[in-house]
Amino acid sequence: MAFLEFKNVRIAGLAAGVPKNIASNLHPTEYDKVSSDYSPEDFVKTTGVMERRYSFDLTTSDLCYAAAEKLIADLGWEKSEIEGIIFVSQTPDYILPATSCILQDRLGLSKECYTADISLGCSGWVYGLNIGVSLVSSGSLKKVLVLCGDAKGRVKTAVRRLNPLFGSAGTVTALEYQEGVPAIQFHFGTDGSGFDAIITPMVDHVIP
Amino acid sequence: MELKDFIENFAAQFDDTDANEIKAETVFKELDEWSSLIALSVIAMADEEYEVTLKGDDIRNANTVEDLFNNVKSKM
Amino acid sequence: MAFLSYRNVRVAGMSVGVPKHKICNLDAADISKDYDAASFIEVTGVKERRIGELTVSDLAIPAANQLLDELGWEKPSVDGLVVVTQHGDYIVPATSCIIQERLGLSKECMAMDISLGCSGWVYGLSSLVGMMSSGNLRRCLLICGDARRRVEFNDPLFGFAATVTALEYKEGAENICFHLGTDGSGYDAIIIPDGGARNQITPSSFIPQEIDGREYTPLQSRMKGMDVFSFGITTAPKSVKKLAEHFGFDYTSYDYLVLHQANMKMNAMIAKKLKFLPEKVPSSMWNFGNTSSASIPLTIATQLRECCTQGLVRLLCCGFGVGLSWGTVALEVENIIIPDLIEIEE
Repeated sequence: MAFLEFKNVRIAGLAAGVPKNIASNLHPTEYDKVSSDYSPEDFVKTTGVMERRYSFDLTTSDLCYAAAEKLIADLGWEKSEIEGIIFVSQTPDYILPATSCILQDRLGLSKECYTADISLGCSGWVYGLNIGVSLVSSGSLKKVLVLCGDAKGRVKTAVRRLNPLFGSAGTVTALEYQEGVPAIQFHFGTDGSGFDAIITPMVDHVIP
Repeated sequence: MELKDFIENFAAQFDDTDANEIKAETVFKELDEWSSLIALSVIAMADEEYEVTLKGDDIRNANTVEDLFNNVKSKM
Repeated sequence: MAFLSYRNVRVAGMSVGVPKHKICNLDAADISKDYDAASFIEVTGVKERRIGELTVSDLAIPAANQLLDELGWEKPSVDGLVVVTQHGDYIVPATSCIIQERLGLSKECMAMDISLGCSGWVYGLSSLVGMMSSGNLRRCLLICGDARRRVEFNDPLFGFAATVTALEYKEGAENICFHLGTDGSGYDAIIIPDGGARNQITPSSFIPQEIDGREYTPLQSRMKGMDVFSFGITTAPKSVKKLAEHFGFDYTSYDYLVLHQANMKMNAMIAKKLKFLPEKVPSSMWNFGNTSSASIPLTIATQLRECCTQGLVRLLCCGFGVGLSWGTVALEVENIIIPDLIEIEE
């Protein structure tokens, strides 16, 4: 049974970076995959998504980077104190190397830094938090960032399209060791029989 | 750190080339035996003998053996 | 400083799954612009490697089934699975989810993918051991490796493999300690330029470019050999020494030094700096090539099988490379289960 709990870890702060561009589902543009089943008003009512942020240029790491710089400054943390980055995304900068390595350099952190990319989507923040919390809980690493999000995809499609349910964002959760903080508790599960419920089967629409 | 000693250490990385052929002004990448493997040996030698880390650009940007010597010396 | 130390977790077993299909580098006519095939083999230490059309999960499933069977572990007792790969079955979903189902594990199982390469087994181990140490999870599998890529791949240095490391919670089990590090300024030392969000896939991603006498498309990985070499010979020994100094042990007293299998010459230099004699530095390059995150466990399971299954062995393992990322782990293994090499037909 995948139950975990860890003491002595405090969430020091949270920040989100989003693109400035706003796409409105009430006023869809040529980029938006419009459903023929609903009017814009009905779509917004059914999905609850009125508007979302988008960019054809900014990657998840760009958004996480901006959020992290701001949060680190607001927390008054020294860059050299940060000992780990967990980057959770299904839209990393590259197939390889891992984006967390690139962010270590971009953020100006020490080389004595634990970095790993986790590839998960909807459940990703919880999994990423679990790893970050586990690293800090023992007191070995005192300050860790969990960077999480999805943005610009991996394929430049022949025709630009945006999914009206999805918005781009990069978040950062700052974790720090503090004696006596009560446990953070986790439960995890997996059902791989549903692997094709949400899937990128292959790269398409690239070669005309 | 002497140029003469560096040239000797550099020449030692070559198996089939006469040490007398390798001088300060030798354009080392034009030597018949020069290869990517010898490049790695030179990097290893700089690390072992002088505790200097050479990278790809250092090898690419040096023309003569003396250029490389100056580069290594500047990092010591 | 990324030093970690955890008690109460033991390695229960390790298994390796490889494609049955082998390619011998002696048969490769155009292997390199600098060398003929025989010289290439002498220089690189890679005589043959396993490749084909099998994916990471295709290789991992039989290896995991065999290991679980020989361990006598019931499937529902596995509560954690980490897959370390940079070439998963799909972009989305994670390969660990697919393996959870194909292996028949319980749905009450933590499963996630970590994207790392050469340092991947050490990082993967640190993540699972950290979760298990206080008894949170009891029986976990760490699956590491790269197999079939998204595009054609025929680099004579690399081979496919998936390794399975079974970990179990055991009160009083000896500490496993880690040193980990990162240098993202070397991000382009080993890189696939296209296919991520930074450089999206376009029709030009499939057009080959010439680099150092070989052709690569932007969807194939390329390496700055000299930079990686100088990184390896400096960083790996330093990491081992830092680990030993921080935790106060004599690294030369360890039985074996198991290094990521990328370059024989680089590893020989690292071993020499750390004063390990060649017979204490096993290698799997000859038969398997560079197997990415699988290389350290594959080397242990194939080259050190006898001593690890019949006694106590103290191992010092260092994975370093793509990222640039590195990790060193010091651990003991005692009477662990290592099945025969599992060779899988397409």
